[in-house]
This record gives sequence, structure tokens and C-alpha cells, in this order.
Amino acid sequence: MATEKVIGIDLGTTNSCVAIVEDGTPSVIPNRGGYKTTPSMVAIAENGKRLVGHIAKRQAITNAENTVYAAKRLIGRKWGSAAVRSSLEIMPYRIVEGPHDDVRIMLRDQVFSVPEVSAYILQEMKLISEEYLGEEVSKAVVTVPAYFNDGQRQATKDAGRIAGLDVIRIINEPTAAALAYGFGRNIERKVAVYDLGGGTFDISILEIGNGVFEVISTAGDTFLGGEDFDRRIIDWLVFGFEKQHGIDLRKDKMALQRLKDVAEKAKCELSSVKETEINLPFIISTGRNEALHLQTMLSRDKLEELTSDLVERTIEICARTLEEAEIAKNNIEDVILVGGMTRMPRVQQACAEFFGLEPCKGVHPDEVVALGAAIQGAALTDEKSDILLLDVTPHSLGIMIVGGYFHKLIEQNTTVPTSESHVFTTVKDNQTSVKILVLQGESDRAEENELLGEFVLTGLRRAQRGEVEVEVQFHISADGIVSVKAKDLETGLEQSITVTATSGLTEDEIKKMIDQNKDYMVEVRSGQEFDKARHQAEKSLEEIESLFPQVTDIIAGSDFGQDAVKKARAVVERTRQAISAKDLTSLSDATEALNRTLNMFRGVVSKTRG
Amino acid sequence: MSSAVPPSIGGLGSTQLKLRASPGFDPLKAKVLPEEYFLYSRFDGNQTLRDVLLESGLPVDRAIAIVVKLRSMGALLLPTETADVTEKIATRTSHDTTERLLVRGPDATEKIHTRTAAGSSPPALDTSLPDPDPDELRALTEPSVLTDAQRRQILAIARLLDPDKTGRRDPWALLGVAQGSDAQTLKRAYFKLSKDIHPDRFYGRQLGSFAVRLSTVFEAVSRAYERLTNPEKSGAHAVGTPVAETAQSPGEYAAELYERACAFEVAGDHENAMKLFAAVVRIDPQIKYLRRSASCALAAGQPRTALEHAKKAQTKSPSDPSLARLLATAFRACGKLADAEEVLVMAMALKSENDALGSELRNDLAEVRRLLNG
Repeated sequence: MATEKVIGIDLGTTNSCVAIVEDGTPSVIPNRGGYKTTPSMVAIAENGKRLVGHIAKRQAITNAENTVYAAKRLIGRKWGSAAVRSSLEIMPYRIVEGPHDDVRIMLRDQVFSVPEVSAYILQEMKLISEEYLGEEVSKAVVTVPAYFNDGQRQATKDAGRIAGLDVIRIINEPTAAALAYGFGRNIERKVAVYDLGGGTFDISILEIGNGVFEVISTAGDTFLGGEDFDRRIIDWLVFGFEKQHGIDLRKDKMALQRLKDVAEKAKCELSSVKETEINLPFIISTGRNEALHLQTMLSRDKLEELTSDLVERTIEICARTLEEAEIAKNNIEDVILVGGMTRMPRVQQACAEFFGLEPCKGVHPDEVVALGAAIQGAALTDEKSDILLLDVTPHSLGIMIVGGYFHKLIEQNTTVPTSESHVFTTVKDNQTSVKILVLQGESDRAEENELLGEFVLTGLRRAQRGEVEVEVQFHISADGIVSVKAKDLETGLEQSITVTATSGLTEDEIKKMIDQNKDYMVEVRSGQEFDKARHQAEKSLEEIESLFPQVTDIIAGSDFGQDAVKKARAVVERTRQAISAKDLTSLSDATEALNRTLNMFRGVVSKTRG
Repeated sequence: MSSAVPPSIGGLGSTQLKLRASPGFDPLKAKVLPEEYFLYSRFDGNQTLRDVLLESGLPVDRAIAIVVKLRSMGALLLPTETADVTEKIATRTSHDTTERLLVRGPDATEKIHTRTAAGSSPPALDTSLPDPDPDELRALTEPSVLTDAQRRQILAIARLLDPDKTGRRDPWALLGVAQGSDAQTLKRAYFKLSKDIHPDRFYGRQLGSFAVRLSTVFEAVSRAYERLTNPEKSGAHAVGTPVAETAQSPGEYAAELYERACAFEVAGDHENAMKLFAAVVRIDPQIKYLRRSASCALAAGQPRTALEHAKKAQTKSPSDPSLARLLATAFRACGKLADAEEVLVMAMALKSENDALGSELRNDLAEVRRLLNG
């Protein structure tokens, strides 16, 4: 039986690429123009026609406002996010706010969601492969930067659906690169994948052996890529031009687009030559019927000087990743370079210096990711394939607990599938329901992480706080689908959700939810800072109050009995004051004394009882 | 000759430990030598190892060698161990090697294996599934693309996850490797096994109940691998580490350090004593250690450490007035007079009889109050 073909798509920030495994051999499918990569650009022409790829790129200069590039920077982002804010300034096309705090793009009075724009590119890749294969293609593995969160991954899947593609798996770009690197080679080694693409930087460490690819660690920076290098060149050009003519070229959208093109071109050229000429005639009009030209020389040294901190930053991330994964540099046996930016000699040199070995030259930085995606597609659907990818979850997962803290249940870089559970308790007396807010991220504060979903578990027994126990279970399937279940351990009542899409909530909204849902909160057995301290103090206060009459009876007879009771009263008072003053330090001090007294009280009572 | 007994023996720990003979050990089957049997018979659990060695009348070195050998045969139990650890060792000494899924003993087990089974191949998974339960029977017959061998493998691993069937979860057995295998062996085993049981290997195919089983089994194997290769990160979840794996339990180690610390203290070397005491209470924060450490810290001029340890001790036994006094003294040394007074008052209130300690407390309190007012 011929299994249905699965294509692999590298949906890049600047360029996209599609590949397929045929008869056990992965290969890139060239587009109609014979190019192996297609610009990730979408435009609406004057006649309303949609243009994708090379055609869109060619008309970009004259139609800058209606040409979308780098949509990947916006996909799955919230309107209020930093990435969107910075894009507003630099993108020549109009970015507007969507109804769900998401981002929309305005092209010729038509509003598009970002997944729609990405869908046009995916559709183009689908068409390219269908023309090549002569049959319909409906399934794909699509790659994303390792640091994409669930929202961005989901949006990418949505884009696939809009394009008529069933995205059977999303995998990380560096992981895909490693698959392509190790495919068909009988190797057993630890490798690092250094992926500096158009918009993001990723570093991944993998262990390869016997056809198994185990992702050990992955990290990156979503705001660091080739376009940052371009922008440095643009800034340098703009600055020089302003100094000479007193005109800010950035104010003119067409000039900006031309600058962008020329900067990218110069950057690429400087990977092979030492110096290049930048020539932009008639770049801007002065308003007195005359035009100015921009003409200058850019050397490789100058470019390296302009971008040295960017390269440095990637190396710092590499060092940190290795450290966190507790892997010694000299255990890395090969370094794979991915992404067009790794053609820059300075980048290669920095990598070689850091890892102490020459980066692997066997893989094509622009094609390797798509090839890897195709290999994973075949691994999943072709019974003959002997490849297995042991992928990891890119971000930690957990729930919000009392005080607005984030309690992690599954750490990032955990191999999937995986499950984890933890028991939480109620925060209030007679609390009959708990709200489970499922979050993803690395911050201790809930509102700084991404909200994946929420649900309420009701029907809890009325009891004192801390008495009712709720077990929360997380499961991540091999295809990265997160499901969460909350269970009342007493009654066995359950509630669960499968996290499928992300809601477009802002940090403010989550903050608001924290306030609104105080009554629904759950608490970790060991909570956080003040709330935790207060909680404990209150418990001790309750107990000590209940012991007072008994203890007073017992010790009042001794010489120091009255004295001791007075002291104990003072300690109780001190604790109460610290609670109302919300002062953690004095509360900790007071609680210590309180617990000491409480312990002695307990001792007194048990002594007389025994 | 008592000085010839070392404070501890490698692989066993402190000679102050009271070892006992393992009920599961059969000296006849193990064919011990007369001297060995004699020494074995001395371990009644009441005498310290040191005493047994001394009273044996054998040269200390010889006696130690025999004890080490006995231990390696699974004949002796540490105080913290339960009999089943060595019983398992002993069972395997006398029986076959098919029950390899059981927890493996210390290195010494290997030696026993070589004697009985000639070579120590890694434990093989028993896929015969004796006495299948209804759920397993259903799994073996339900419609699924999996072959019988594949089903048996998955069910056999699932059995390893069930404490009722195997006693305890052993991460080594889950991965199908010999205990103590090196990182490379572990990785290879994990990768090989992953290819058999990772859900992606059966993507989109009819699996029946095995869809869930695969996920559960793979998750457990992957966790076991993580635990064995990265114990720090997964330390919180650590289970199934056999007791016999460490030659000396933390408690024994603390006891040994404590003795050495006391020796320093008696010799007047408070500084070195404190270094050891600090380690002792970190390993095993029991009252006895905390109390001694706190007093030593006071003598060594380390009031903060004294306070920290006195607090811990007092928390553990709040109605002990002598600990309260120690705590008050530590508070005083740290200049926290109000706290000292409070503790002393409470201690006085707790104390019913008027004995020497009572008057000491009274004096202390008077002194503290004088300082407070002056």
C-alpha cells in the first residue's frame, strides 16, 4: 500500500522551503522558477490579485504598503506584545489590532489575520510540491523556531488548516536540521545545532544514535536574527545620510523598503567579498524638484563592527544552554550551522572558537530544515523508516496558584510524551470550587506567562481551607497536545480540558482574573513568600488560640505561669500586627517566635495528657 | 589492639554499627569457610561491628576481610536495611538467574552471579507473562496492528511499573540494563527501547488499548532514564534506588562524623569540630547532634550557628527545658535578649519540679533581665 505522502515545510521568516522523502531519499522541491527557496512574502496587487513568493518580492518596492514580509514575527502574538510593538515601527505594511487582542494586517482595505497570510505561503509550498509530485498533498510537517510558544505553534497549525494542509506535527527548526544531518548516517554522537535565521536564534543540543534523535536541551532568542543585522546596516546608512543631507530616510516607506533590500543584499555579498558598494540612486526627493542619491562603500570589517554584539549574544546563549544542560563544551562532537546568517564568516568563526571545532559543512543552511521536516513526516507515516525523534516540550507548564504565582508541573526540555501530577489544597474555608488556569512559561509570576486555558472544578466538600485536596494532572502527548485534569481526591470528581487553541488574553486581563477569581484559587502545599508566611502564621494563630485556655489552666500555678501567658499573648499580638502590616520580614520573625511558643504549648498539653 | 580497628570500613560504614546476620542467607549453600561461619554467627544485631571484630580473637585485618566478604555474599544486614534486600541476593545465590527483574544488590552481587551463572548479562525482560490478569488477556487478543511479541514486551514492561507485582520500581530493570551500567550502555538501551515503545513508531495506526499503554510505558522508561542520567534534576522524584546501593547510609555517615567531631571538641579544637558538626547536622539533624553542635558553636565563638542549631533542636523537642536553656543562651550570645527572656520565661513555666536545672534557668533569667534593664 502506498502511504500518503507527507511534505516537510520550513516556514521561514524571510524564505520558505519544501521537501519530501521519496524512496527513502529526502530532497528539496524546487519552485516553478527553479529556486529551492521561496520568499515568505504575500502582496495584494493593485488589481486586487494575491501575489505570493518571488512575484510578491519583485513588486515589493513599488507596493511596499501592501506587501507583507516577516509575518512569522507576528504569528500567534498578542497585540500588546513587544514583538508587535517593534514591528509597528519597522514594517511598511499596516498592522492593526484584531478583535481578540491579536494582530491583523491591512492590505488595500482588506483585513487579514496573520495565520491567513502564513496560509498563503503554505498554500504556495503545497502547490509547488503538488506540481512536482503530480498528485494531491494534504499532510505536512511544519517547522517553527524552538522558542515558539504554544500560541505561536497553534497559529502555525491554523495556517496549515486554512491552506488545506493537515499539519500532522510541528517540530523545531534546529531539531529538523539535526534529523537531516544524521539521516542515513550511522553515527553516535552529541551535536549542537546553531540556528541563526531571519528572525530568531535557536540553539539545540541533541544526542544521536541508532537512528534515534534525542533533544537534550534547546534555547534561543526570539528577537535575534538576520533582520537585526540588516537593521544595523540600515541604521548606519540612515545615520550617514542624515548627517550628510539632514533627511531621515526612515520616514519614507519606499525608501525604507529599498534600504532594506540593499542592506540584505550587501550583507549577503559581504560573506564572500571584503567590500561592497551600496548604490541607491534617487532615494528621496528634496521637495525642490531634485532627488538625492545614496552611494557608499561598506566593508566586511565595518559590518562585523556594527553587528559584533549580536554575534556575541548568540555565543552567550550557547554558553548558557550548555551550562543549564550540564554538558561540557568538549562533549559536543559536531556543530551544525543552520539559517542564512550562518554564512557570515564572523558567525562561523565565533562558533568555531566557542565550540573548539570546525562547524559541519555537510548541510545546506537554507534547505536542511525542510529536509528534516520531510524526514520526520516519513518517520511518522512510513513503516520502513527507522528514524525516531525524541522531542521535548519547549516551555514549562503549570497552573496559577494563590497570590498569582506560577507552579510548574512539567519542566521545559522534558521528553514527550510525559505526565505529571501534584496535589493542591483549597485556600478558603468552605471553598466549593477551584479554578485551574493552565499556563506556559518560565516566570514565577503567573501573569508573565502565557495562558493556555482554564476550567473550574466544582462540587468540593465544604471544609476548612487546606483540607480538601485536589490533584492536578498534566499530560503532553507525543504530538505536543496538552491535556489537564483536576480531580477531587475525596469524591473522585473530575474536570479536564485539552488545550487546543490559545485565547487572546493580555497580561492585564490575566491580572484582572487573578483579582476576580480569588475565591477560586488553589494553593500549593508550600506556597510563596508572604502569602505562604501569612497562611502559616494564621494556622498557628488559630491553634495557639485554641490551646490558650488549657495551657493557662496548667501553667498558671507555676511561678512563671502568668508571665509566660503574658509573653505568649504578646507574641500573638506581634504576629497579628505583622500580618496586617504585610511586612514579610517582621512576619517571619514573629512567626518564628509564635511557632516556638506554640510548640511549647503543645508540649505542655501533651505532657499533662500523657 | 583496639586501636587497630578503624572507625569505618569501606563498603560497610562505621564500625560503631550494629550489623546482624541476614535471615535469608544460607551459609551451607554458600559454602563458607569455618572462620567465616564463626564470624557470621557472631552478628546478633546487639554488638557493634567493632566489638565483634575485637572479640573474634582473629587478627583485625583478617577479621575485616572476612566481614567484607560476608557482606558481599549478602550475609550481613546494615541496621537500616530490611531483610528482603539480602534475601534477594541470597535467593539468587542459590537459585537461577531468571528472576533478574528483581532489585539488584551492591557490586558484590555480580560476584555471586559469576559463581552461579557464569557471567553477568543484563537482566532480560520476561515476556512470558505468567498468570495474566483479565486486562492483560484482553490486551493480548484485542484487534491491534501490534504483533504478539510487541504486545508481550509492552505488557511485561507495564508489569515492572506495578509495585504489587515486582516489589519496587527499579529504573535499571525498566531500561533492561545491569545496575550500575555506564552512561553509554544506558543511552543505547534507552534508544533501542524507545524504538520499540515510543508512540510515534505506531503513528496513526490502530492500537486499541495500547495507545494508552505505549504512552504510559514510554513515559516511565524515559523518566527512569532521566533519573539515572541526571539524578540531580529528577532527584525529587527518585524512587526505587536500592538501599544496598550506597555502602553507607547517610545516618551512619553522620554518626561517624559526629564521633570525629566530638574527638576534636574534647581535644579543644573547636574550629575543626564545628566544621564536622555542621556537616553532621546537615546530613542528620537529630536532637543529639544539634545540641552538641550548638554548645560547641558557643564555645567556638560562632553564636549564629549556635542559634540556628539550638532553634532546630528546640523545635524538635519543645518541652525539653534544657534545650530551651540552650536556645536562650544562644539568643543571648547573639544579642537577642528579648528572645532569650521570652524563651526562659516559657521554659520556667513548663518546668514543674524545682531542681538544679530550674535554678540554673532562674539564674539565667535574672541575668538576662538585668541586662535588659541595664
